[in-house]
Amino acid sequence: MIFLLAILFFSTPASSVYAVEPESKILSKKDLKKIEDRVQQELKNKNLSEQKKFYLNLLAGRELYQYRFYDKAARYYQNALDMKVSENKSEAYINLMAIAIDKNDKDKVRTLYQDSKSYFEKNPQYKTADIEYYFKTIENYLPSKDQKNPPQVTGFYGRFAHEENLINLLKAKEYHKAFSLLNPQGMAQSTSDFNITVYDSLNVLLNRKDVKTLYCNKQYKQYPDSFAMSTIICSLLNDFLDKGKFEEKHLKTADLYFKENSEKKYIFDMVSELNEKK
Amino acid sequence: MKRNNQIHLLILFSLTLMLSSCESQIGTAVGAAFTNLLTGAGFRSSSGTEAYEALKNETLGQSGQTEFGGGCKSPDDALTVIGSKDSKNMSAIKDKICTCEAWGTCDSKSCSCQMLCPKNFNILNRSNTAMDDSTENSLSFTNSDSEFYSKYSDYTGFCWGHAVITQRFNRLAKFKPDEPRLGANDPIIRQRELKGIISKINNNEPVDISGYKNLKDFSTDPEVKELLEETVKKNWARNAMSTQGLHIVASGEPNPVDETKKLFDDLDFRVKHNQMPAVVVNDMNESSYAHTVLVSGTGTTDDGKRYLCIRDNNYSPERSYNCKNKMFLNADGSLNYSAWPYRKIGKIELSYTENSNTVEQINNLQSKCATDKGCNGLFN
Repeated sequence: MIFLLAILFFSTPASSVYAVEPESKILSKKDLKKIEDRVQQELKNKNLSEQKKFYLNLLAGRELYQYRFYDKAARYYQNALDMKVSENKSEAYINLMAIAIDKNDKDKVRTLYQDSKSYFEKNPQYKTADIEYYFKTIENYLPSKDQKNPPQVTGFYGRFAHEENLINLLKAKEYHKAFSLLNPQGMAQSTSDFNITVYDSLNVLLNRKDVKTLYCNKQYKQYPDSFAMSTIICSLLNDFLDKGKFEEKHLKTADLYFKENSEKKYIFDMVSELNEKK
Repeated sequence: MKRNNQIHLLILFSLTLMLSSCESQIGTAVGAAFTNLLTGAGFRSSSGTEAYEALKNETLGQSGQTEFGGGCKSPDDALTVIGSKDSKNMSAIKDKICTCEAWGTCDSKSCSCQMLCPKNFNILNRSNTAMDDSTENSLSFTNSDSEFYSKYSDYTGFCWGHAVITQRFNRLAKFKPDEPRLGANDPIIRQRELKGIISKINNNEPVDISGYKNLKDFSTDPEVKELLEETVKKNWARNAMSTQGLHIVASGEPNPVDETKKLFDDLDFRVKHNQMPAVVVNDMNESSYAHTVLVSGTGTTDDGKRYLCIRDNNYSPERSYNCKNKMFLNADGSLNYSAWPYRKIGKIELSYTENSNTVEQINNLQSKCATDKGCNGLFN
């Protein structure tokens, strides 16, 4: 029986095993239930005003968000949004979007973004400059159907916005557009494996054998057998530049890696085009 | 109307009673937050802050009392004891040589569990790394990579995630270099085990990491590094994309002088109690330019100016080590930061996750310590 369970555990893709992080241990299940029961009881209390019930939902959402009980927090924030009150609902919209971003649920973010846009149009008194800034960031996070240029975002949300826009372009196979966003002069001092992998992959895909430098090689030479995306992609790029095609051994490792880490497969799909293009 | 008020008060009284009977300190603090709201006190401190303040007050109340419960803290002390006339009895020597303090080497027979596994800030220094800002105790990669995009370099990266992850490893991880590495022969099992460690870290739980010397060694391994880069981004988004994170960029208006001084006092308390807190600052004239750093120390110059030592993740750890980066508090309440010579600091705030994370980490570290030291059920 234990053997069967072990097989089941190790044959399940990691994304499904670890997608849900462990729940915070700060509140015991008993405490959590006690708190939730009391909040529910108060929400049913006919003597409590709608305004107080709205804030009660908001507070429950905020407290639970703080300890990463995201599903429970989302329920209270959604309750707050569903209430017919004139209070400021921006916290509920923003934190519901934050929860959906944490789950990488772009459809949910899109729905919330559209709903919140109409909410702020009807309630312009709550639409502050920081909310505008937040919306610009979300427009970079969400892929647009025709890959229009999303608004520029600098400062605190800048890197997140740029990276999400870049990923959207790669997934849409808009490689020239993606490459035009990058700065070759900035690569020598880059310490981000993700950035180096994306740059080298796009460079080889678009400039093929004219490419003289792979920035991934520094780490690849030191850790040639590492089961990391940067190493695996680097081995394929080196194969292509040296022999014009991928080594079977490297391809097999890449298959294994991207089956396990399917959320990153768009990078492998991009590099695989080298094996197909002549 | 009067009867309605009486019913309302009765409900609130029973709510307070019920939530006060919660098992944990946090349970009680959450209850207090709801009671504040319902009694008309509105939104006050979060339960994380309430629980942190309770721990802080307890610590301040105990200051002056000795925290050392016997035993020797250094080999020299131990040799002195061995050489003394008291050393006739071997078990007495053993008791004197071992350390009777948080995570100390004594066992629960020779040192009380309250000393070995206290539920206070001492428990945060599990591996003596909570206050170590050296390269070995830092992530192998910086936050910035600000030249990657051709048009825009004016962004501050995933600083909040970088700071929070560094702090968590420094408080929660114990590296065991002499033990074999995780899932050595199967890359899939190894990757899943590494993801498991990072999940625990994200959940503020203590972890043992075998086969690596320190955080730098661990985060240099490409298999680990890619997972850490991802988790830094995820933690950044959790903090920054929330309402509480957005609030930081709403205004660059500096806080009143008294508030800033109070914050400096609070940060001073924290660094003296095994915490390297995360603070968020922004630019006075460009509020969306914000950055999160760790405060590794505090001090006062010869001419009486207070400063914070800043562990800045935009630069290599050597540039911050041993208080090379400083943020000064001027007499008028304004701030100067040595790494931002061309910018004026606007707001400065404690990261809103600081208190809840710290309280959670103390709880989880204390449970782990109690299990490791055979202290379960021996606290009362």
